[in-house]
Amino acid sequence: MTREPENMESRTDALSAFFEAGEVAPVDPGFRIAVMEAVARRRFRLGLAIRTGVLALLVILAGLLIPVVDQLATALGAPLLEILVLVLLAVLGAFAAQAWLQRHPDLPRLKLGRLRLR
Amino acid sequence: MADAGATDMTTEPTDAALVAAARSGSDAAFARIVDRYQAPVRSFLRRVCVYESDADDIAQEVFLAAWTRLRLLDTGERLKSWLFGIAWRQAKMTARSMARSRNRDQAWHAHQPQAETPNREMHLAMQQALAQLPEDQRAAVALCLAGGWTHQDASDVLEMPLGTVKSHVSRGRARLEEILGVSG
Repeated sequence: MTREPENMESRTDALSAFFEAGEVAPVDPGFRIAVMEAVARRRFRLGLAIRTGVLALLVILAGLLIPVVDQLATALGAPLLEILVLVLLAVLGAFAAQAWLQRHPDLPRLKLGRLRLR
Repeated sequence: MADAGATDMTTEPTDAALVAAARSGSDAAFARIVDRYQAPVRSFLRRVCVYESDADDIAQEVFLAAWTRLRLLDTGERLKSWLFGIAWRQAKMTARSMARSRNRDQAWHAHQPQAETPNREMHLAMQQALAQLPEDQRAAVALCLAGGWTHQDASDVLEMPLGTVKSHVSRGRARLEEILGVSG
């Protein structure tokens, strides 16, 4: 931030001692932890909202596709339809497995590899 | 993690480097931002909020909002004024909706040790004096007199005309000196 000395108020006046008495500690680890926990909660909620949205879209899509699948079933016959159902089940299974693997909230990931906290 | 996240943290990283790393998902970088600016933001909010017990809650909200909107920050170089801008807006919004904090503040004070050190006495005297100033004047005083900000920077953060900030600071200073019985 650029400073303009001619435009800057000085704290070396009678009020400075009063202001200094109210300064908080430079770093409060408890405050940082509280913020990072709140960040983790928000990240989890956002992730949950996105997954719920995707699932809702899939349900709507499935609802829209049912008539098409019906027509396809008539046109293709039973054996090909079974293959199509298996493929769909595999896709849904993969989606469910991915959701299961990522079910934990993303807790604060303090990546301490090359980025070190002092 | 992006390259920015791999910034060498043995030297003090710039705000821009920390913002870039935090944007790419580094919580350590965001924690550094919190550590770097928690004291000035919390001090500012304690002066702006009439009820001190609200200040840290609002400060947490400020950093949470910052994390959520970090992608909207065009350049990390103006991180400090951006954070203070969020703090000021959050404080104004909260002041209107936190009538309940009066009770909580009284309860909080009731549980504090009663030993009155000279520092604590001075701090309480200043808090009581600040509480008598209008909200905008209090914010201008908190930034320019207590925080050492320029009038121009304070004007940007508080979204007030430069002349208004100067006037607030001048009148605020005179009023505080009058209430506290000190002279410039």
